[in-house]
Amino acid sequence: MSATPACIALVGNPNCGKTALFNLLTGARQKVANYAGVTVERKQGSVTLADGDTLSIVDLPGTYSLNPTTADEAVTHDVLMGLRPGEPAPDGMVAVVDATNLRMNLRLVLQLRTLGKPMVVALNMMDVARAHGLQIDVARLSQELDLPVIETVAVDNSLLGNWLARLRGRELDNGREALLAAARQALSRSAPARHATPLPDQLTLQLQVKRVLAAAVPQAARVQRFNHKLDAVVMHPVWGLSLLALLLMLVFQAVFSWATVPMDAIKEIVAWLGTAIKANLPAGMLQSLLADGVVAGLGGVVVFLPQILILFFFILLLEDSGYLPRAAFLLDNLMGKVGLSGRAFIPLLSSFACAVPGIMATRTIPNWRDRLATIMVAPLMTCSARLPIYALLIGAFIPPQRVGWFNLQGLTLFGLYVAGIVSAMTVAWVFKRIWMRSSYQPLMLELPPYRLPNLRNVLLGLWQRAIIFLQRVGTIIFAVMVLLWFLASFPAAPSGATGAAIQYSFAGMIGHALEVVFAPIGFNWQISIALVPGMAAREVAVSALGTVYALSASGEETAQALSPIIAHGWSLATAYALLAWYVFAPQCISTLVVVKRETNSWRYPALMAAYLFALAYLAAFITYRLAAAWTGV
Amino acid sequence: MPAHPLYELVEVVVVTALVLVCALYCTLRLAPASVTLPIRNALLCLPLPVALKSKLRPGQQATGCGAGCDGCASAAPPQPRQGRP
Repeated sequence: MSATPACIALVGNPNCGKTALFNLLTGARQKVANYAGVTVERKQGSVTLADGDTLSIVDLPGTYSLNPTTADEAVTHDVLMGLRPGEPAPDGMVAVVDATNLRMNLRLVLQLRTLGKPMVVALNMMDVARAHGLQIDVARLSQELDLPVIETVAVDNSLLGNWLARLRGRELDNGREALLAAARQALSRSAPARHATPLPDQLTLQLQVKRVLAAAVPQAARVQRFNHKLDAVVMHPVWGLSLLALLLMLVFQAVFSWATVPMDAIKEIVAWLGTAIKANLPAGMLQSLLADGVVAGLGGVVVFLPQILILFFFILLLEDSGYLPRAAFLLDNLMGKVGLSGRAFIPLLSSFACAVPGIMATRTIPNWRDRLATIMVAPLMTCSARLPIYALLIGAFIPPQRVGWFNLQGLTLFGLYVAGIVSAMTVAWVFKRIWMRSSYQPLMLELPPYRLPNLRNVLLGLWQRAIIFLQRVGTIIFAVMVLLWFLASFPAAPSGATGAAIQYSFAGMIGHALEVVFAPIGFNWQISIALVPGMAAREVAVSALGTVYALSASGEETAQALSPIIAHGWSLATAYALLAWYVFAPQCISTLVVVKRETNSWRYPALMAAYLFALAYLAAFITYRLAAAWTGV
Repeated sequence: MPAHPLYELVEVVVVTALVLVCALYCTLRLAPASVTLPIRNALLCLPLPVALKSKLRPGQQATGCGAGCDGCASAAPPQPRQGRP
């Protein structure tokens, strides 16, 4: 092998397990999910073989054919053809095939074969195929395709799978070594040379697939029977929607009821840290920075980590089980009525974690107007950064009383998520009516089979989510808090001043100036200050409130948990107005930057910021006025 | 607790350094590329650790919020995209 490692590309239909195979081969930890369209950019890794040589491996977005129709399919096409500037075409390919759906997957394999490159077929998800009673004659398949075929089980490298295998006295064979050996053999000089041939037309392809299937999979029936029975309930227009609503409500109940103990523990640790700093450091700048700036600010947001993890635990379970694409079909009718493309579901779903990957995922939408409409409404889906704000306000203002089987706090959170979805649909309807008219593009999404959630995937997802959150806390949130502390501490209060020192600081001046704008919606100067650093990331607003209120404490008052402070200091109308504000909250610089990158123009992020600000202000204004009239404040 | 005069000096130095580093970090993370590029280039001329320099290279700018929810932060550097078909 040459000094430059040979490059192998993983190619296949969406949701056939390419990224799981990539993780298995390279030891990487890229996100995998049981639905199509998760990978929209190429990802590269490497693997060292037993003899010390290295193979470079590229994971490409899923594609159904070599004639790209969407931006992510174009990435795959361009990489394979060597059309990407500065990136040579891969030396060989691993065609990843979902063993439970050969009829669809083999069409791409036959197309790839015409490129004449060294190639191996990875027959993935063989465990699921066997569980479904599917008998595949692998040797015959290899013979019919004239390609090496290796059985792989990319996601069964799980804690449970390995444990069960060991109990049975054998190591789990996921096909990794056999696949690497076959890839290496295909790339070697001794392998038979392959030559490029013209792409066959669709009819010829269909006939070829039929012939291969008839030879290698003589009885391809009975496989989908279980899925169909379950789908009859899950995708029923009434029962399916009821089940979806029930599932979501249960998730939000758990977010509040399961998180109490770990949250209390984190609160105790934060309080102890603040007290220890004040007791052990002389009064002065450093003590104030650490206790009022860093600990009060970061502690205020770290406390919500358990709730974020519980929410993502359920999302990962639903994702891995194959339920989420069914939810897409259930909601497709609604999305079609507001003019959104059916393909908008996955980007909007991704936006529940963060709008940034959601906006990137819109590359799967071929029509520019549909794509733009989806980009414009993606920030309205409730991203995880809003959860600390919602949780803080709900914890402070909504009593934890029961309403029937449900907890009022969980119901409120559910209502806020629904408000985000309804807002997104309404805005999309308006945009599509007055600005971006286009014909409806029906949803063509391949339903994945139901699977028991993979424990390793779920734990890995939770671990990544925790690391991401703590990294944000330790980097951008920490930096913003230090700056906010500086702005809130200087200049010092003049001699003879009666109020808290922060009122005379730069931050105090900014807060009082902004209060003029935000007073009509019930926001005081402390909230007005918090909105500014909240532009770095929405949850920073919670940290900022922690720091501002810690620095506002005067005399014998000591910094305490943020929740009781705001519960006593704010009116109910202000709290509701802030919740309404954050349903639309335009402040997220990262989102605006990604919109600019995806649209190649500052016009769209400017428009997005403007309309979201207007909506947030309007919603907060109406909420504040109604709540104030209702509560008599 | 009474503070030692040397402590007060160290305190001023530590707090000032921390505030300046955080201001620089926020600028690099949040400001547009046209603003951060000259700063990055200037920093790359300084004798900084290799790991820090590799993060400062313009191509290594985070592709989004850095959340990496979809592996976007660890993905290849962003390619110029054509927004319209």
